[in-house]
This record gives sequence, structure tokens and C-alpha cells, in this order.
Amino acid sequence: MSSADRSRTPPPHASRLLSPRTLDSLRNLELIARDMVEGSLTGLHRSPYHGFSSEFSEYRKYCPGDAVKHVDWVAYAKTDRYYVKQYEDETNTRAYIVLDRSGSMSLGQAQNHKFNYACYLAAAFIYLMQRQKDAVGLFTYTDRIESYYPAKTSRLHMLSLLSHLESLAPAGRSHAAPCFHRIAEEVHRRSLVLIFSDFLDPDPDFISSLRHFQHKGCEVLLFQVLDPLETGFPFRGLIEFRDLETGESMEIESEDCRSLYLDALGTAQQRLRRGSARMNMTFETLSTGTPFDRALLAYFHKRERLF
Amino acid sequence: MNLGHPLFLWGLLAVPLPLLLHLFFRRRKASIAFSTLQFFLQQKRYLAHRRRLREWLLLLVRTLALLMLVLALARPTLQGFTAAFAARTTVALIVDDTLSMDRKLGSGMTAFALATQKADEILNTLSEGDAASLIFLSGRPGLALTRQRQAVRRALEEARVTGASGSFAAALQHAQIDLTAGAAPNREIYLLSDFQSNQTPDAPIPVAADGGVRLYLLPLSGPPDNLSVARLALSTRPQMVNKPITIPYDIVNHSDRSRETVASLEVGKDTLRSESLRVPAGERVTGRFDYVPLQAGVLNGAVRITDPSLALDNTRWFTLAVSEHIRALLVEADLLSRVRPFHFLMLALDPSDGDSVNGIHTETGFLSEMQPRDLDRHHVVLFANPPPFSAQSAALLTRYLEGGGSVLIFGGGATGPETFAAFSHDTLRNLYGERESAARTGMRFKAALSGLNALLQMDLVTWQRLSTLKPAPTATVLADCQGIPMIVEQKVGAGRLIACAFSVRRDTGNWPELKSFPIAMIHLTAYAAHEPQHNAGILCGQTLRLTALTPEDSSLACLHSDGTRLAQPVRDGAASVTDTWQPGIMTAERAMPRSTAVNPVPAESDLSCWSASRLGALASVRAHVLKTDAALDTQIRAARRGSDLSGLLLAALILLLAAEALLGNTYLSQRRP
Repeated sequence: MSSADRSRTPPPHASRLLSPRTLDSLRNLELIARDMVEGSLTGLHRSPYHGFSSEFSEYRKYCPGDAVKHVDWVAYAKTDRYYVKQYEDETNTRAYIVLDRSGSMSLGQAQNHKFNYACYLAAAFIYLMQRQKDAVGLFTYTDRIESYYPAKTSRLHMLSLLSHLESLAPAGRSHAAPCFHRIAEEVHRRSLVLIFSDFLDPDPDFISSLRHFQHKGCEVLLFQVLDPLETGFPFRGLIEFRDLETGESMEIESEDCRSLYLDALGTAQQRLRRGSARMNMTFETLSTGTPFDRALLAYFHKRERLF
Repeated sequence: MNLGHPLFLWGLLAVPLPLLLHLFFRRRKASIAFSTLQFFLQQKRYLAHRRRLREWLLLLVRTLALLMLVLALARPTLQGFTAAFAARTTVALIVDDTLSMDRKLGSGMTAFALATQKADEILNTLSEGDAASLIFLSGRPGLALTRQRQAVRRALEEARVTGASGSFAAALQHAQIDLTAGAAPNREIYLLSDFQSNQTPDAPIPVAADGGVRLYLLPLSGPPDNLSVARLALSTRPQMVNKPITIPYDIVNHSDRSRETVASLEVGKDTLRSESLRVPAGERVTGRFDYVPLQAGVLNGAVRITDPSLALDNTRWFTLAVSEHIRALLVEADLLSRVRPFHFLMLALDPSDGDSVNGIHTETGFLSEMQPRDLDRHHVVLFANPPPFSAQSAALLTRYLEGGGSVLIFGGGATGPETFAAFSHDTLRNLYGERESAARTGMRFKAALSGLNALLQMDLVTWQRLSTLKPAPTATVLADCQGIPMIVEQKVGAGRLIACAFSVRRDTGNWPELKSFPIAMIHLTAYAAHEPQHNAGILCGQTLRLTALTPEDSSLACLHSDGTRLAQPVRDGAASVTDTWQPGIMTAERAMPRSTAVNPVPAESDLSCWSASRLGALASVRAHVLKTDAALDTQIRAARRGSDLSGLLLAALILLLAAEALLGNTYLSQRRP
């Protein structure tokens, strides 16, 4: 079986998280990481971190879709054909999946709560990374680091990550700030960090903790996963809301509270968005009501338009 | 504060209902797990506070709404101030129109005139939409509850003092019925009267206190001086032409000082006699007039005195029937008998057979052919030796006797214990015993006939056989023979039956052959005779019952001596005249009695009144005594001023319901998520 065939065929121990349909939708997706220093992407997920130690590997024919600025004009002048340069390190990207597994992530329908949704997304990215021979690692956290898998490129490693994801269940309180600090210390410089959470941390200063990733030159993608119950607040009448993390309950007159709640949620999201924008981080809000593969595709297409 | 419908206050028991329902249907809240409460925490206090506040407000609003509804239905009126919605008023005016109200007051006007004037002032205190009724104390028809005050004024203008008496209890009851028919919160009864002592109730008259009825008394008293013609004791005996009639009268002085007056006898329109009298204070003086009628017929007259106090009791009316002769009906029992039982009696009473030389006119008839009107036309009905009366005859005679008729029965061979067996009266059934042999002489007259003893030589009378008489203890023995009753008078109803132990033939003795027989028979017959048209008259306010002479008549006409003409419908041959408020003579056309004297109630002539301190005890509710010398509207409005709060309460109820809808909308329409 060729490597191409192996990349198309799901591994024998592929989890429930990656259905064949999902695998198909991801086959042509490639994760393009933005060059935090140069602010540009080179073709198909070229590493922006090649620096002076990277060695020229070979020329590759220009394919439609490659960035024009990567075209070797000298080669064009000589050959009258378009070529792009390839370096040795251009595929050695480390990506880390940081997954919030606190109790708040259990909101939603039984099979489609936020944590499951986030796990689907995480699994998709894990697969994509592994397919592209990128090392991928995994952190799960609540108010502490719950699990850590270092970044590796092997398929076996991917399977262990997926298996671990399957075994997880959301529980516990969330306190992201110390966890982010700890994770930032663990990750390699200039890694790609994808954080999947609802970012409903009671400590609003967790945003500043993301700066630690910025200091390490990492590209951070923030995926806020919310449930339609949170974004729409369709409740009516007197409701006793029970906090999934603390167990605290509160009686609320839903109609009276709806606008206040949505305003507060919007304000928190705005703060997150501004904070992440200041740190050149990408912030996306995803709803569990949207099929996750569609959500992922929409995200990648958006990234392609940007770069 | 007064309550128009206090019974609705029982609805206050339902006021806690919203609280109970609130506790029972306390909303069950759904419990939902949510990602975070951080966005609620900052609002927690406010929201919880708002929720609790809203729940309590809703409960308060609902409770208040129910309270407003109950109170509004109870129609409270607050006295002492006038708000935008003034309370409506229903008034019952009780005007005393009895005889005593004809008294003169110090101002010169009569008490009745002042009463009508004050009643008009009371009507002026009413507003548009208020209602009033008019009730006369005498019982004369007044005016039902009406908003047409002009109609009430007209009725007052047309009203006159009557000769009748009145009842405060009946009038107050009538007034309460009228007030109940009105729906106004202000309910007032005005009693305008002189409050005569003779109308004093034994106990306070019950007046329903619920509904806030106010009772106002307006005493209209004056000097109690009065003279009145109290009574005319006319005889029930037939009055004959050319025979003197005695008209005795009583004059009563109700004053506390001696009075002089002139009493006159009027017959028809003529004053025939006059005499001056002095009546001591508080005393009754009896006088008499003698009058010889010169022709037969109905004699209408009056005894009148002069007295400035009350005019209506200065005259006492009478009506008399004057006959040419005594009409005696001799009733035979056996159509086929050849024996003439009345042979000797007819020779004694009416020897010229129709000329009435003795003042007695006899007619004969047979019992089987007798009709009631045949008996009613005669002064006396005579039977001689009657066989046992049949049930039909007994009923006929009983009706005649009880109506005032006179029957004279002579014994004989056929008369015995079975004679009156069909009668219902025990005194008659046992009147006659067996006929017995009696070897006796003489007879002594007694009682009213005792004067005959001096005239007649009865010791020549010998008796052989006599019927035994067994008089009841209530009977009067008019003659006996050696202690054995010979003539017995028994009262039956308004009439009387005179039974004789002897017959008027020679089978019992020799008396029919003696000269004393006709004289005794004339006197006995005259004594037995009654005046079938005797009419003692009625008092003002009593019902005059007339019997149509022609049963086919559908109405009867009645003419009052003051010129008023009345028509009354006839039912079953009789008519009832209730318009007898004014004294005078009422003459009926084609009906009996032909003439009836209507006289004032004697008790009304006593003008003594209650003291002011006693007026408060008239009724069971507190009575406000108004002053006649002060403006009535000022006195009345001070008590009447008040506000019907039910409108305000209903407006508050509407506002509360609107508030409840606003507050409770979310509660009512909540759905579980």
C-alpha cells in the first residue's frame, strides 16, 4: 500500500471520532500556519521557522494556489518555468491541542455536548497534522493539567491521542490561567497551539495568560465552543440553573435575565476577541449546533482567503 | 359608614383565597444544568429581589382586588362629606291623614296642611334620580315609589283629612317595602303626624336596621281642645210614620276646660231642633232628640255640634228606615191543610185584612214557597204550630235569624222536640219539649213585656195543654205561668226567636177568645218586630258591603252625601266599597243597604299626643326628630350627606385588575422549557 493510499485509508484502530465522512472532508484540507514573523505562508503548510539552519532541499514545480512570493524568479529566468524552493525543515511543525475538559464543557445534548464537539475538532486537527507529518501533542486541562502527550508524528501516537480523547469525560472546575502558563512552558517555541474551550473561565485574567504563548513565538488559535443554549438562551419561566462545575444553583426568571445574560456573554466574547487580536491570536466561536466538519471547513476557507 | 348590602360582607371570607391558591399552585421551577452562573451572579440579587417583589405584589394586588369587589358590592356610604359620586336617596313619606290631623295649630293652619307643606319641603331636598313614595297613615291609597316628584306633589295637593284612624306599624311596614324596592344607598322614612296617644304602640315597631334606613319624625301637635259627637244609640225597632223616634246622642269634651256648644238635629237638609249644652271638662253628656216622621222611607240625618277644633267629628250621621206599619209574615206549613192556624191571630193583628188599623200589616205565605227576600221584607215572621222544619227551611230561617231577623213561633199539637231538630243551634234544637196537659190559669208578663201586666187581666186565661219550653241559660223569659215559661226570647246571631208555649187557636186554652189576646198579640208582635233595614253604619275606613238587588248587575253606583259618585264592580251579587274615608251618608242604587251612615272613628277625637321624649320609642331603630320651626333641608342634608363609595371601589378594582394583568402576564403564560 502506497503512502498515499495509507493516508487515504483510515487506520485500523480509528476511533469513533473520525467517521469516514469526516475523513473524506479533511483529506484535501491543509493546515496553513501563518508566519508570525514574516506574516506569510509558503505554499502548502510551509514552515515559517526555517531560519539559517534550514537547507535548500529541491525545487518543486509551481502548483496553482502556491503563493506567488515563493516563486523562485531566478529559476524562472533561467528556465522560463515556475518553480518554488523547498527546504528541509518546512514540514517540521509542532502543533499542540489544548483541550478544556472542565465541567462546563458537558453542556449540551447527550451525544453532542461541547466537549464531544471539541473532541471531534481536536481529532480532526490531530489527523490533519499527522497526515501532514507534523508532530502533534495534546494537553487537557481543568484547573490543572489533566493529561499531556508530547508532540510526535507517528500514526501510533495519533491513535493514542484519539484513544485518549475518547476516554475523556468533562468534569471539574476550570482555571485556565495557571494551566496556560504551564502549557506554554512545555510547548516548543514557535509551535502551533490550538485551544479548544468555551472560555467561560470565571477568572477573566486568563486572557493575559495567553501572552505566555506569544512570548514563546507560538501561533495560537482559540476555538470557543458554545452550545445553542448558551448562545440563544431560549429558556422561559422560573428556572433553577445548576453550575456544571461548582454545583451551585440559582433561581432565575429566565425572561427577565435573557437580555442581561446575552449582553454579558457578548461582552465576554468581545473581550476575548480584542484580547486575542491584540496578541495576534485567532479567535473563532463555534456552535455545537453547526455540524463540526462544516464549521472546520468554514474556518479553513476563511484562513485561505486571508493568506 | 353605612352599608347598603351588608350581606355581601360574607364575601370577605374569600379574600384569603388568592393566598391559598398562591401557596397551592406555587410554581414548580425547572432545574437545568448550565455551563456557568457567572453571568447571572452579578444580577442575582436584583433578579431574585425582583422576582420576590413581583410575587408579593401580585398576591397583594389580587387580594386587594377581591377586597374591593366585596366592599363595592356591599355599597358602603360614608357620611360627613360629599365626594364626586353623591349617594342616591329613596324616601318614603308617611303623612298622617287621620281625623286628628284636622286640628288647628297655633299658626291657624291645620296640622294636615302643615304636614303636606313639610312633605313638599322634603321633596325639595331630593335630587334628580332620587325616588319618593307617599303613604297615608289611614291606609288610603297613596303613591308607589316614583322618581316623578311632581306626581307626589299632586297627590299631596289632592289629599284631604279623613275620618279614619291609622296604624303606625302598617305604615312603617309599607314604607320599608317601598324602600326595599328602591336601590339607593340612602333610605329614609319620614313620618309626619301629630302622634296621637291612642295610636301608641305597645312595643317599639320593628324596623329592619340593615341597609341603613334612617327614620325621621316630624311631630305636628297642637292644642288638644275638642268636642265631638261620640255616639248615636238608635233603636233597632221599626220606626213608624207618625210615631216619635228618639235619637239619643253623646257629646264628649276632650278638653281640660268646660265647653259650651249647640247641638242640632238635621234631617235631610233641614235643621229641625237645636239645644245648648254645657259639657264639663273630660266629661260625656247625653242628650236626645225626638222626631216624628210624617212619611215612610229612608230618613237620613245628622246630629251636629258647633266646635272650632275638628270639623269632621262635629257631625254624627244616621240613617233610619221609617215604615207605614209593621209588616208581619204569617207562614203556614201545610199547603193542603184546611185548618187556618192564624185565624184568631189575624183577627187580632190585622182585623181589616190589609188596612193595618193596628199598625200591623199581615201577609200569609207557605214555608215551602219562601225565599230569603220574602223574609227580609218583613219586620217579623210568625209561625203557628209548625211541624218539624226541614233542613232547607232550617237553613233559610237560620240565615234570616243570624242576619238580624225576628221569628215568633206559637206552639201547638205539631210542635215538639223534633220541631228544631234540623237547626244547627243547640239552643233552638232543645227549645221545645213534649206537649203536656196543663191545668193552669193566668200568665204573667216579664222583662220588656212587663208593662202588659197592668193593662191586661190575664187571670181569666185558662190553659189545658201547653208545649213545654226549655229555654237556654242565655234566653229571656218574657212571660211565665206559675213559674213555667210561656214566652221565651232566644237570641240567634243578630236576630232573635220568640217561642210561645201556647197556640193561637183554642186547642191550648181560652185565651184567643178573651179581649186581652189581641192586645197582647199586638204588643208581642210589635216587640218581636225588628227593622230589616236597620243600618248601624260604618266607621270611616271600613269597607261597605252592598248586596245587589238585581244579581245581573255588573256594577253598583254609590252616591256620597258630599256629591262624590262611586262605581263598584259586582261579583257574586255583591260589591265592596273601600272609599269610605269621608264621613257622610252613602246611598246605593239598586243595592242593599240603601243608605249607610259613615262616621269618623270616635277615638280620633281625643287629641292628646305623645310627649316629645317618647317619640324615640316609636320604632326599633333610632328616630331623628325634626323641628318644624327650622328649615328641614338643613336638618336633613346634614344627616344625608354622604358618598357612595362603591363607584370608587369599582374604579380601584379595575385598576387592580389591570395591574394584575401586567404583573401576572408572564406568570399566567409561562411554559416549561
